[in-house]
Amino acid sequence: MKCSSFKKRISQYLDKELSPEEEKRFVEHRETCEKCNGLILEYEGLDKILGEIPVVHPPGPRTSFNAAHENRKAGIFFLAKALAGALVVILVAFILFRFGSDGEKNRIALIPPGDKRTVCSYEIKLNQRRFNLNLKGDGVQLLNFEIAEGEDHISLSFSEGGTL
Amino acid sequence: MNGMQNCGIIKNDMQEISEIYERHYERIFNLCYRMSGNYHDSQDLVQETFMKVHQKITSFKQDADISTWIYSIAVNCCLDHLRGRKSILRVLAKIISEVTSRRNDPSCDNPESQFMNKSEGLELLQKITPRHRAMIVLKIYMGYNYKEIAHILKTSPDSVGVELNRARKKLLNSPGEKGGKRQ
Repeated sequence: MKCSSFKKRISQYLDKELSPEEEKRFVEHRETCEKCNGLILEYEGLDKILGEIPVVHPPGPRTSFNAAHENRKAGIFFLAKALAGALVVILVAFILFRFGSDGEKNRIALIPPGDKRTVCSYEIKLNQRRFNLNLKGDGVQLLNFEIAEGEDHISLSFSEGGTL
Repeated sequence: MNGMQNCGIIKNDMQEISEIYERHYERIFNLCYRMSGNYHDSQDLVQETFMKVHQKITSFKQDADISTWIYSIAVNCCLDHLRGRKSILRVLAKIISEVTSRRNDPSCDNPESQFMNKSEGLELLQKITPRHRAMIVLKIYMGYNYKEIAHILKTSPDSVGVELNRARKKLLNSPGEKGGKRQ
């Protein structure tokens, strides 16, 4: 194997993508060519650096798809659900009044914590107004949402889409 | 009601997505982190990935590997992000991230703090093109073989080998790399 062929196959060698015959020729060349052997050592050092990028441990998935949650006593749940329902009605009315049918229709899934006694609270700022969404954690919640883009703002509105 | 029809059709898929989301969340976050080099962008990209998964789940072919499919979506979200393409889903993902990150969660008082000390490898990765970076991440972090990488990036296994060689060579020659400037 020539040095030029060797250099072209370095990644395939490091990634174990060479056929047994090719790998044999590659290793034979490496053992006899000091320069190419030095090159391989550099590539191996590079892979080590890339492989040592620390694995990060981000906040759990619930804090990503859901706002932070808080456990509440059973007596509060009925009230929270009623409030959430009222909010949805207000939001839907707001959407119909404010945007008509201009928005893009979409659905997203929000995954609240599995604990049925848990309520997720979402706070959404829309056109400088604040809204709250309360979801009870009993499965995947589906929300319809609409987005309307204005010249200087993006409007986002939610409506209830059911629970799985 | 289209929405209600979807609700029935995707019930099992959604359960599966939920499970995969729980199982692969950290891995997808790390993939996005390596691609973007930025904690906040990674949060948005993970959100966007799962929104796209939910949008496209009905077109997913059941005989394919769903986790590879999801990683493929994540990589393409990252590539679009790095190319400066803005999608409406990204805007939504950003809004949700911002909303959720404002909440007090005792488990993440200052989640960014653990990312303040970026590694040499992460800084190096940002010096190559997004596509080369994707190949390096898929190979070295995710451990995919050339055939799988080719499938995700819609190219051929031979091209993956050639491009990975170029990417590594460029990394070795980059000024910040110890022992670089070879050749």
